[in-house]
Amino acid sequence: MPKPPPDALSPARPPPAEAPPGLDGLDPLLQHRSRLGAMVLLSTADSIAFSHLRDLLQETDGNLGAQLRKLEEAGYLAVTKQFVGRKPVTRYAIVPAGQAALRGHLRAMEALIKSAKV
Amino acid sequence: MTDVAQIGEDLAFVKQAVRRRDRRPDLFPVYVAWASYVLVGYVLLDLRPDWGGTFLALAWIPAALVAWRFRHRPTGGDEPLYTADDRRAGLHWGGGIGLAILAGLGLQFVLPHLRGPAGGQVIVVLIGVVYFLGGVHFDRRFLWLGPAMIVGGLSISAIPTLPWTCLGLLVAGGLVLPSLFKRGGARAQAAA
Repeated sequence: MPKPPPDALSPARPPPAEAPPGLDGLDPLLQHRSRLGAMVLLSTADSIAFSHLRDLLQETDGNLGAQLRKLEEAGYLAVTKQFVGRKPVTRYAIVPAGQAALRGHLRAMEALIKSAKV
Repeated sequence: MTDVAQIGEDLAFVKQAVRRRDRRPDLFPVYVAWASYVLVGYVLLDLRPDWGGTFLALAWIPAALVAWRFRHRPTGGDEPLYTADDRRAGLHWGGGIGLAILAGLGLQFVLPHLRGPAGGQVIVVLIGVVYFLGGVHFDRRFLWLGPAMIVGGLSISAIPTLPWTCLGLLVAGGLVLPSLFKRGGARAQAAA
């Protein structure tokens, strides 16, 4: 049986019709825990190698690669490929647009959690 | 599942990843390196003052290399990870102690009566302030070690015999003993 694409396993959740405060501010791209985790880790580091991100997030190569590609395509991450010795190393770094998106998403999450507590 | 509950789960996942990133290697060798530097240097200041100054001026280099080696060991991946916290710690310890020494030497230059042992006391007091701020921001042991260094630095001239050795023992003990207790506690916890 063919494996479903990684995103089909955990799709981004669409907002409900009557969105509570904060929900419309959520970035659909960051409503996936691996993508959110990668962005949070990258937000305080200059750059992180793919293998290190994989270990920190405890994801499979295939799933993490697919999620990071989406962030790269959205212009949130910059990717550099280099050789260390004879081994290829792919490094990821967050760019200003990604930092802004992450900040907005975290603010919206905070508003949503506050509204749920009231 | 509600959106808030899902967000809570996602945040717990992210928190675990951040914890894995922040899992630090055992810094005991770093504290031992700096404690040895301080103890040997200060003992020499009492016994062979001419050697003491040279030792303190040069031996910080291997101690700093040990600190760099152990603080920046890879913590999971195949490379060390530098975070904003690492940069802040580097700026605090490297910059803070460097500036304290430069300020102490500068004071000796403009205030000639501070040259000699008094200048050393000024540097110890300034480093005590850096230690105290290190306690506020990084490691609680420095909250008391900083003020103890300040008091020790001020009272050097009042201690009749081997004053620098006494201060060196205080600082070296303050650096190493909390790590020993922490290690013992961690081992007991692991054995339980």
